[in-house]
Amino acid sequence: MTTTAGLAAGPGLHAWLLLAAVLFCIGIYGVLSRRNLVAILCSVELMANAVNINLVAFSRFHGDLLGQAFALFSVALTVAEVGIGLAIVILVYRARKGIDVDELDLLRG
Amino acid sequence: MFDPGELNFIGPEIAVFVFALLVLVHDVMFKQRNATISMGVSLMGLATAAVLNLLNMQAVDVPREAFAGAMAVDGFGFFLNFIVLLAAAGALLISHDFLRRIDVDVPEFNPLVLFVAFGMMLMGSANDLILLFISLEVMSLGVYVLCGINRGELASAEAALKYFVMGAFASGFLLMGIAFVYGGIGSTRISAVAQWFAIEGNGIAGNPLIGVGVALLLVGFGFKVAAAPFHMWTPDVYQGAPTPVTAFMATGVKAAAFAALSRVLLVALLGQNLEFHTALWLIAAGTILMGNIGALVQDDLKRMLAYSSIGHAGYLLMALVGAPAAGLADNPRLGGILFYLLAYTVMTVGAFAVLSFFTRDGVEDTRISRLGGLADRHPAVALALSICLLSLAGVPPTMGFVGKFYLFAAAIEGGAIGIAVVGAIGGAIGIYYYLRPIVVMYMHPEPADRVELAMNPAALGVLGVATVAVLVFGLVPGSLIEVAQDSLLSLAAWGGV
Amino acid sequence: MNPALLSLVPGFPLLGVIVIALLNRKASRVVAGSIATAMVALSAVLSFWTLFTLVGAHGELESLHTVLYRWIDVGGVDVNIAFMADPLTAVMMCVVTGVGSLIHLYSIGYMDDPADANSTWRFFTYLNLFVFSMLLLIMGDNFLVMFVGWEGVGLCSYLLIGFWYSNTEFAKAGKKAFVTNRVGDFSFLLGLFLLFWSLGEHATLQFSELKEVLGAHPELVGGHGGTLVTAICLLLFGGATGKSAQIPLFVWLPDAMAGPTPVSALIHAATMVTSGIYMICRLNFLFAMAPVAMGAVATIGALTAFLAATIAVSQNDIKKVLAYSTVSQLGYMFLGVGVGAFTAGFFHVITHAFFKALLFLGAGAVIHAMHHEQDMRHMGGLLGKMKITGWTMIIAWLAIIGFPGFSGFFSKDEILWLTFAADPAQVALFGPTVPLPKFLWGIGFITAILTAFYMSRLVFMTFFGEFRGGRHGHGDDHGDDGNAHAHEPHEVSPVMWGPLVVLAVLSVFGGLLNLPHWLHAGNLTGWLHHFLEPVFEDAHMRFDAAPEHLELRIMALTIGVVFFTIYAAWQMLMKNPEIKHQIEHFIPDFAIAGSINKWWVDELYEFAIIKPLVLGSRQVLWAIVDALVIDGAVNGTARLLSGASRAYGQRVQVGKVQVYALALASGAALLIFAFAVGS
Repeated sequence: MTTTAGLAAGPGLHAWLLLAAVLFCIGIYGVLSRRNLVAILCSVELMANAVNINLVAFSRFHGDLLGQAFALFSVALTVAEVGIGLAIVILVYRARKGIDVDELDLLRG
Repeated sequence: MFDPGELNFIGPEIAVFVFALLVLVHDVMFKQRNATISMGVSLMGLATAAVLNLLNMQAVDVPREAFAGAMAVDGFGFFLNFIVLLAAAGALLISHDFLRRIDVDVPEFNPLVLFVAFGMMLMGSANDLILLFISLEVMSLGVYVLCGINRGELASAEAALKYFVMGAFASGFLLMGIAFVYGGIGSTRISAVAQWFAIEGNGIAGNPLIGVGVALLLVGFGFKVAAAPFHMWTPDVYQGAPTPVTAFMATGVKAAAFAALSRVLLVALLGQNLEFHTALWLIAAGTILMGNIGALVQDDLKRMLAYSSIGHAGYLLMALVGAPAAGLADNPRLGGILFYLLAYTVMTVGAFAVLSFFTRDGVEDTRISRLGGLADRHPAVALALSICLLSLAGVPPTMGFVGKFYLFAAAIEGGAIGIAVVGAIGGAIGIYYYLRPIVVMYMHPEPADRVELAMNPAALGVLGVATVAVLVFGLVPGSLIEVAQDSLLSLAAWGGV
Repeated sequence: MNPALLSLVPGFPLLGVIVIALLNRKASRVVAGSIATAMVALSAVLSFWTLFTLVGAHGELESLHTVLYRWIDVGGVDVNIAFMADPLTAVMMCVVTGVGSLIHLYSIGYMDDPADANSTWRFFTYLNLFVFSMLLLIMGDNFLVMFVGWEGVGLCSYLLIGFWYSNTEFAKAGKKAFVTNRVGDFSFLLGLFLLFWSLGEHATLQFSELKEVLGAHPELVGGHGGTLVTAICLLLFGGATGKSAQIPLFVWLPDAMAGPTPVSALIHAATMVTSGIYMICRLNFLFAMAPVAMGAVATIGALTAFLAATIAVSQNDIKKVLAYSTVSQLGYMFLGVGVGAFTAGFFHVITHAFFKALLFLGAGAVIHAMHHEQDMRHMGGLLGKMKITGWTMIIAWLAIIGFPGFSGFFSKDEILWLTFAADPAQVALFGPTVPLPKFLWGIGFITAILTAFYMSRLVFMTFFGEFRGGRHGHGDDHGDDGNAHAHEPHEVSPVMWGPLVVLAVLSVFGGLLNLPHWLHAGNLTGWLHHFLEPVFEDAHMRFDAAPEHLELRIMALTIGVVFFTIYAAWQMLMKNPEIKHQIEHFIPDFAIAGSINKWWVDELYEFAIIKPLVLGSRQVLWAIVDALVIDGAVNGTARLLSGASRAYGQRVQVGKVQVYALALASGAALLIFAFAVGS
């Protein structure tokens, strides 16, 4: 399964890259446009998972395990990140009684 | 394949990590934790790491790989370790009394600083983009928490949130960049990337995968070093975070991120720098101008320093624009990057030590007008702060001047005259806003509702050491410059060119 | 001797500065003075050790060298804080620290005015700082250290001239010295830059390397006699005219006498003012390449010597006479080095340091005894009251006028003789065929007569005849109106006359350093000449071929004229004032007025330079350029920038994290476009 011949069995590399790119852009759009902090967190997750797709696809393309290993690391790190992110959102919620990102402009200028 | 002897090379990292655990255990186990013991053990950890780092530095003459190539053991990494350890020690000492005053009694502060330092040190020596990313995340996750450590304060929470959202967002770009580089080259080793580029016909041009990868890497690192247009979080976050944390971010985080960026640019992409010369030029110019112009009308000293830190990142980028495509040995002045990171760390920690004195009823108040009459009340503190600010402005005979001189020399020697002119304009603007607090200290009367400065021995010690160092290495920079240059040139060992 | 010890030579005075400055008011006059003296004396011990090390090596050891600290490495040029002691340096070190420690010792006695009790520590701090800077200047192995010293001595000179700064006149004199010196320093710097620039990739700031580079690539500076090297040398010499008080920048030195007299002795007679000559000696290999510049040096030197001497003959302030005499003697030194007689010029630096320091210290003793009276018309007959001071002054007088056997005789005659014998092609200010040296000798010869006259006048008016003191400040000076004064002058304390005696001995025997060969004195013949040979090497002109009998004749002529002048002065001033009036009839009025008014040089500068400058600054620079153009531009720029800053803060940095994220994403898009699509 780690041979390049395996590529022929499924969709080509380009297809995976395209999928990842679309997911990534949706993630970016979400971060830029959603007002709910939790939704923004989800969008960041989407971006990270787009990368994971890419990593696995490249791993298969190159026929080595490096990308897959990296994807595992990436997943672990993303989990930690989301954990902290949620904690911060809760912090903000406590202080603000709301999680609308637009209201957070105390620091500016 | 795994040689236990190689563990020596991460001795400093291990020391910091183990001591962080010790402090954590102590802080969590005892209900009435002893802040002094916690601080002492933390500092001991940093000192142990510094000693181990020094031993490594002397033991390793020729740069070498460790851990199957994931880590580069070279002078560059050693030098950065020292900067990180200094920054962490400075932040810890400033925080000691400060946290008590703003009524933040959390056991995790000291361990967090150590864990973050651990990540920073690894970042400086990472030869593999995977390790680089992991250590960067270790650092960042800790800093997000540190930013919001003042839970009762809305500004602190907002800073943490902004930093987190932007950081996670930028991490996505960085991660994608690494994925694309891996996709294009088949390896995540920085030295392997350099070797790949060294092969005739390989380059950014004509390889869109790698082009996208490099662009995204620049975005990710650009965010961490606060380069335009990825810099906009900086003023808000620096202002909102508690002062010791800001000091740590401005020095340690910046140094580590810049080290990683430099390693990628000067090792992996050195032969390709003509390809992105214009992009880097524009980023550097924008960073210098936006940082310095933004700082001009700030009334809050902390926010002003935040903007100015953007400007300083710009000067460092300016030197990188002068990186020679033909090999690092062509432009040894680039060693000024390391020297400047150290100088910036020292003088910034000094300035923030003074800032930490300005609290009122547990709330920070760092408006420049608060400085009025300081020269009369505390002439020594006013003088020390003035020296640190003048050093930041790059006035001789200070460390900041010498460092800036080398950055300009590096840019000019690299043929980047245009960006040096932009840098000079930025520096001229800088002198104006750095002088303003000094004018206020020496010429303005005390504000009517003055508060006693919360001076404490630890922060005063930091300030004293920083001021002396700024002057001493401003007058006799010779040997330190040499070490910095040699450390930077050690990167040449990895180059494909 | 371990070369590393060299660093201690300037180190001790620096230590003195730090210690005394830390003690500040807690250090009394005696404590501060003792510390300062001890530090310079320690330097002197090391200096003599250095000298004897080099002497003992019999030419096998070219120089001692030590790098204290690697300072900075700029543009391929290493600049170190490094010290070097070759024979030239070693001799100069001994002179500076030796004479310096004597003057420090003397100052302990001199500065006993109760009004200064709170500031003597300042005095000794400056004095030690001066010695430190002077040692940097002479021991530096590169231009940078030398320049630090060069500026340092200027600063100390300024501080010490204005030591009594509550007196505005004195403070002004300090400023004048500083500003005049800055003009010279500017020229010096220009010369340095030009030199540095012309060397291109061979650029170096180190003297020994510079010598090698110029030896291997003379074409870099345009070769022998090239325009470039001439320009460099003239600019460097411009710096020397400032520091060493030559035409046109000599005006500050007479005013510098406002400082305490030991300062005048140390800084404005023995050491600092000779640094211009020292610099040219150090760079002899460079100057030897530029005959035109050498001619300019010699000519300026001779003219200055003459001009200053003509002023000295009519001054009544004892320190002013000595000040113009110093300017005049410095002119002799420049004349010497200018004609290529580097050893002779430098020899005169040494002997002059002895007898001029002695003259100043003696004058200081007189002034001290007379309670700050400096007008010679109120002195007279002091020999009887101050025996030691008087006799040592008489020795110094004989030395400076070139009385046979005294030190000044040997050094001055060597300069005059070598000037006469110089090769016109080497002193080619007006072309190689013009017999400029003979002409310059003529000026030097006349100056020797004038020197004999004004020095005799000084000694006669001060020490002989009757005491005319007691009535301060009044115009009528009939000496016979003798009410005994309450403040009868008497001999000064041993701490003050001790140094006088030592210097007197040196003034007598200083000539032994470089005896002329017609004395056939064996090893002592031309000892200094041989010792300095490795330094001057090819730069030295060859005079050996000059006929010896001519030398003796010229010398005899000089001696005869000097003797006659002393006799004439005695007759004119002491015996028969009628002769004086008759002679004055012969001299054109304008010459007398010129001498008394110092040839109106100060007025000329005031009229031609200072007034237009002030006027121009006020009317043009300040009113138009500064107020309108620069202020306009600065204010405009400031308004523009702060406007931009505010706009940035309000429009861009709006505090919304999603705006920031948008900027980041846009930047990423641009980069991706540039890297992947664009390329």
